[in-house]
Amino acid sequence: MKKKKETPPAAASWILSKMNSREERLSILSDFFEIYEELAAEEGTFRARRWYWTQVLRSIPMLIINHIIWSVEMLKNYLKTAWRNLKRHKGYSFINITGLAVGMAAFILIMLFVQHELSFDRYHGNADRIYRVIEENPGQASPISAEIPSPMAPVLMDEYPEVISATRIFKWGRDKKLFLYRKKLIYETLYYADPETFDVFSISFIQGDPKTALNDPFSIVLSKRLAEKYFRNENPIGKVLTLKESSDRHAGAGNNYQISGIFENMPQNSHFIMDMIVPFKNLILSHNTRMTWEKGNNPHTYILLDKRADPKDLEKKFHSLLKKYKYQNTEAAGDPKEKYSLQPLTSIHLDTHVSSDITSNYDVKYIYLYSSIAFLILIVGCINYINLTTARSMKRGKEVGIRKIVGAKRGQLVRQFLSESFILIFIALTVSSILVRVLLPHFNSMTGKSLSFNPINNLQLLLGFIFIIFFVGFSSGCYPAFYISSIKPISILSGKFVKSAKGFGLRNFLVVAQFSITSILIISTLVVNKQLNFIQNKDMGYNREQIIVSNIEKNMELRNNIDAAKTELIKNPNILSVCCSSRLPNDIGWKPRGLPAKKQGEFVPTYTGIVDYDFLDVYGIEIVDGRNFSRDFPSDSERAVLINEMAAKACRWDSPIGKEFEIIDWDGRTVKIIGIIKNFHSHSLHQPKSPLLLGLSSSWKAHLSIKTNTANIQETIDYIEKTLKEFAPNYPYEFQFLDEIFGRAYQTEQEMGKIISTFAFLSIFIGCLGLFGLASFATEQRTKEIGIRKVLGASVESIMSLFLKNMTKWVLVANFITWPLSYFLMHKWLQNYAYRISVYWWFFILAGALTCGIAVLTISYKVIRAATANPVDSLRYE
Amino acid sequence: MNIITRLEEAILIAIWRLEDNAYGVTINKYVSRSMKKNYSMGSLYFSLNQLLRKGYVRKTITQFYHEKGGRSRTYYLLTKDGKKALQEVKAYQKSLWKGIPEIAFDVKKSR
Repeated sequence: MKKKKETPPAAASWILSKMNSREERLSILSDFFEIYEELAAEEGTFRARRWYWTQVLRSIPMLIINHIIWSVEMLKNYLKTAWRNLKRHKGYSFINITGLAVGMAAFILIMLFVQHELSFDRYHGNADRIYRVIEENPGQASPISAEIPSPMAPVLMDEYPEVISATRIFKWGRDKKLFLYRKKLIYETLYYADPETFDVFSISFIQGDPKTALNDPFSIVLSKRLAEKYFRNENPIGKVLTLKESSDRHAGAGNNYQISGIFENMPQNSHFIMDMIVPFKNLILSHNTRMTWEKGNNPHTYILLDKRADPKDLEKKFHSLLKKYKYQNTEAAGDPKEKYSLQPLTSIHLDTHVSSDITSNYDVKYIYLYSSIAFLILIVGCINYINLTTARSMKRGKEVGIRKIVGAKRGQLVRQFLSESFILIFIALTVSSILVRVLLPHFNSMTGKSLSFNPINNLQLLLGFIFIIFFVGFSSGCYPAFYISSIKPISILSGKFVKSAKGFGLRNFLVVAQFSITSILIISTLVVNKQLNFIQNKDMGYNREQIIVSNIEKNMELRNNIDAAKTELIKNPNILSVCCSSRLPNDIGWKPRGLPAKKQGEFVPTYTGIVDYDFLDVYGIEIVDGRNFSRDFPSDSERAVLINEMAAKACRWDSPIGKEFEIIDWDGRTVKIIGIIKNFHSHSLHQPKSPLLLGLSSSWKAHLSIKTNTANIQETIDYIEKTLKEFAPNYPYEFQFLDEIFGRAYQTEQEMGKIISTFAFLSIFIGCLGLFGLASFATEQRTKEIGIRKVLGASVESIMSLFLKNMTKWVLVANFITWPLSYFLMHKWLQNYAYRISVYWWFFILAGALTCGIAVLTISYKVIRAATANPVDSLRYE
Repeated sequence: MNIITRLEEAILIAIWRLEDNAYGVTINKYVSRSMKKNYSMGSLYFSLNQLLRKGYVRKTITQFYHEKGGRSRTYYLLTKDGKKALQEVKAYQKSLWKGIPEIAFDVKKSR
């Protein structure tokens, strides 16, 4: 009879074997098995099995500790070898660490920037449940708008239980409001908002009660910032501010506002930052018409949805809501064309499709652009590491050979080299943190942000660090680790490996990749800066130098006396001319109004600017036909207008001068054309020139423009301020140069120009570090060859060209490869501008020459040293 | 002098005494008998590894074919250091007990 074979429980054996290293596994298993067999024979299978299981389970903690102790022991060894290697090859370590650290620092900086842009409005407690109502109106000038008729918010709250709260927030254009407190002037941006604002948004109060603070229509709440600015030593609560606004808009309503609360400053990453809030009710009181469903100058509506509510369901109900409230269910109105929908709060900042946002948004394109640049730079740094490590692998070959012979397994070697790269990366990360700390202020001034770098309380940043460590660790550590560990000990020790060409192709490929990235960045730098330069120097058709402008829209005292003030100003010899206008010529703005064309019933959309007699003189705008506004023609002040050439052409009248017509959408005003002016760029260069009409009016004097000569600018400004103060003392004047204002319109582009230039520089720096390392490696490797060549009569030049040719070849190849791609990218980018440079061929040549030149310079340093060395020394080398 | 734990001491003695036959099972049995306590194999391996690390023992892995499938045993041997450690422990204990006669226990007890 065959004896039943006793075997221990399979599962337990499996656990046991998994917990031990391969070499010990068998003997441990057999130990256990032996006792098991004994027990089974003596006390039966069941007890033996029980014993086996308890033994295994009881052993687990010890086995685990044992395992860890041995891994630590090995790791200690790896670290020691790694550290010795770093120390022995200081130059290489320096290049490796610097390259990686610079790449990482660039990456971290850009990630901080991107994180900031992505963090907008996320700090609100209910950020994921807050939506902004937007209106789609196909076929209009601005198809998607965030301005929603004011009855919408209360209606939403009444009609739908899922809308927990809804609030309206409104601001008059870009205006600031002037308040008076005792003798103090408070000139700040004023927001009108419902009390529900504090339910929807997480704005905490320092003083006052958010529930009641905005109940009284003549209450006002201030941010901590303003409270500190204007009420340093006093308690602001209960103080009364007087609105200095004698414009007709506020006639009839009171002008005294009592401060009822102080709220915590809104963080910089808010898509609108309120500092001064007055109840929305106040706006309704002073403007009775505002409670209608009419279009134009409407507030923004934000709603807070219930946790369970689906915004899509709510959107579906808006159609019937519009019918019921806006059109009172009348059949005549037909189906509402406009469509209302909900936009998540957190997406507002990066969405540029919606017009009439409270503050300008950030284009998500740039986020993608910067993120990819960050990645590319990081990759350039990693490539350095891979190249230098594989190039030097021959040096490590002997070590690997010995380790293998002594019995190291491939996995262990891989682990060793990986841990080596992790050490290096850890050092590089530390260095890069220091770099980031040092560079952040510069980066902040470059981007106009106030980013901060403290990884301790920035969880995302910490995660980013971990990501960097693993990404860089594996992408740059893996290949060298596997490559080196694959070396056969016999080939190393017999000396064959030294001449092995393996890894050479890959290195060249990586150099090409590195310099392709660099070349793209350099070409972009050239094109972007050229375009920015082009914008700065573009003849806009008007003079924008030496013009001082000041916003006087709220300054009624001055506006009422403007003619006298102008005469007074012009008395100063440094002031050449003065004019007033509704908007500045760089942004005439305003919605286009219709100009009747020759063909009956057709209208040409035309921008309208309101100016005075001296406007053309100050801005040097030429008249092509007809005449300028003139005080000699009293009728001018009533209805004379100038149009530009484009308007004249678009209307296709036979003789535009003297033409009289009624302008659509402008109080039914009848005007007469007295002259045609030359086209000028009345908007940013993103837009093409467009038809324009300049009218003359006494009531639109928002901006004062003063043309000066170059002498004593500060004195002139002082004189202007003094003179204006004589007419209107209670007004805080701000003076700006038109140039500055003009430049600000291209801020994002300038920021981009700076960022790209910086990162192009960084990538060329890192790339050259790598080349330098490779060059010094190559010359070291071929020291003997150089010596022999020299002995046989080679000249220094021929040796140099031998090396240079070999290395710059790949840089050149990289340049050629990227030309089509960079052409495509730059061409695409330039499409953003109606007026742009073309992508010239010399951009590419220049970028190529630049990269090659720098590469040659870097390599030459090493090569010249090698080539001029005494052959005796080099032959004795090793 | 390195002081080793009681268990380590017992293991060293076991290896020493077992001579050529010192492997997991026998060591465990010996130690369990002498210490009058059942040790789990895991804690035994742990201590063995500590001793390995300290260089008091070394191991040889043998393979022999018992039935189907290979089985191997790890035999442990005392190194010079290990012997020295044992001697030191013994000397240390002697010095600890020096001057205290066996009878002292009884005296103390009787007091």
